[in-house]
Amino acid sequence: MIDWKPLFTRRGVVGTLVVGTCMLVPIIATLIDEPYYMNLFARLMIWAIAAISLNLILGYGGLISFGHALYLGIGAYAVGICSYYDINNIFIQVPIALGVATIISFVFGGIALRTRGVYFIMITMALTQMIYYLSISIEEYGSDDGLIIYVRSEFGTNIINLDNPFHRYYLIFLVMVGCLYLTYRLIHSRFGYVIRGAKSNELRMEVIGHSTFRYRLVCFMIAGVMCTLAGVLSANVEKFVSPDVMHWTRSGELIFMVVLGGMASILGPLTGAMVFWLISEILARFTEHWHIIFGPFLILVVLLSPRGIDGMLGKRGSGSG
Amino acid sequence: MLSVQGINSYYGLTQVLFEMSIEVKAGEIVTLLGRNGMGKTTTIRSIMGLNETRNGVIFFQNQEITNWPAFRIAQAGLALAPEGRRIFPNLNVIENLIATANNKNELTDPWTVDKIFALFPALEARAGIAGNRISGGEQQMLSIGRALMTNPHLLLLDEATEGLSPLLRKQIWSSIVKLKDNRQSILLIDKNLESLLRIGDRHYVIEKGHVVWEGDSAQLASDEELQLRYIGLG
Repeated sequence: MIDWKPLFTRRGVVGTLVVGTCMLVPIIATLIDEPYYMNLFARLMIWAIAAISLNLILGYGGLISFGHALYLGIGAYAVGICSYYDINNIFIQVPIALGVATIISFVFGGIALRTRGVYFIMITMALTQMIYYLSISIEEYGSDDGLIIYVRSEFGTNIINLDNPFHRYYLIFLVMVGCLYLTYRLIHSRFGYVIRGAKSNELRMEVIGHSTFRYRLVCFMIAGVMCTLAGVLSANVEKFVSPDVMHWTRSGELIFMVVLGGMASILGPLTGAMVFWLISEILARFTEHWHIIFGPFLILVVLLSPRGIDGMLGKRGSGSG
Repeated sequence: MLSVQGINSYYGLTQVLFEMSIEVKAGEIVTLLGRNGMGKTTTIRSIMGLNETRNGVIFFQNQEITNWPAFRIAQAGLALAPEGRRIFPNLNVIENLIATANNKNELTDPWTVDKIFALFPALEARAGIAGNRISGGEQQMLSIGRALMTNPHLLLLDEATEGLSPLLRKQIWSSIVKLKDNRQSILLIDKNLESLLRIGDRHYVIEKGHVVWEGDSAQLASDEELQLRYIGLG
């Protein structure tokens, strides 16, 4: 029998509302004839996937990666460059994207995880900036003008056609739900316990016989690969990719979303991404300089509730979501 | 099983251990005695690779483990329940136990969460509670349980009963006796001489970073002057 009890807590209600909204947006948007909202939520969910993946290392692992947008870039450019060479089959594009992300996250993680604290923040940012400038310098792929994608990824069947906004939307939705489920399973496995334990006391975890470096490297790679999926989806929504996608401010925004939603909570990054986007959308209607209001708002949230929106929903039993 | 041979250890420039040598044989319970600040904890930290040792060598299961990284020493079959317990506060009781579960040395009949609960029944009722919300005694049991989950050849217990009520101390001691009956080798630091005399096989008295006396329980029990001079108990 399924235990429905968690659904009726405050956290459960909010979670159901957030996921439910994402699920129903296309229907509502069609009914009120405002397809704009469907696009808005599609983008929002892509950011949520990126934030969910960042939460694995930032929230659960306690490692402040300031270069996570790199993997958005890898995913988006994999689609863009493949499409440039007329390779539009998603079953070729995705393995290429994930393969490149695996190799890069292995190398970058292997370097960055040898450092701690501020050094980790700086080195993850520097490594991402390296690839950012690489993408600017390659004329062939548009340099800083970006690369227009003329054909969306193809599944080779009409059952899923990414030119259809509904298909596109629900593919993103399914990937997002899959990432949420994967996160849940990961952090409730022995692997997740080691990652979380190492966050609170790394030395103790070593003395118990776990190489925290290896666990963290694997976690770093999982997060990178998951974020790459968001990049692949992003390229298919925008039909465009430019170096901006992996600018360091993007990485910063991802951190905002995770902190806003509540670090180390499963749904936190999703609510964080949602609130982040909705507030910036609303503010942007009033003034071009919406950051001036948004900045202090973020500071207030962090001051009043260090665990973000999730922290406002009451205490949790065991520090897990 | 464990043989520490003439190690020197330092905190920064200050030398703490001077030619420290101790030995633990399979199935034995060995204790380190001495006043505070004499180097008992440093000895254990050096064995676990938490303090760099110079000169001297440490052998474990016929392998030299001197200055190995801590996680490899742990994987070789040494497990420490440290002073101050150091429970992972953001994991609950079961998660604390599972996080450390390992059987690198492929012991038959390894420890399981259920066996830990059988050894420390008080923990079972607290299974889903966060590590920082259980009592000090429960944390101590969890700390020992967590060390046992790595299926160690040798268990190191640093101040396992410190700061606990007499009743809880009794529970911990009876659990240690059960471990002894299972032929678990243990290296123990504690201040409760009476209990140590009862369950310890051999004892080392440590003074200013080296061993000044070693012997079995009968010898130690009969030497009241020794107890007074080095341990401060009469």
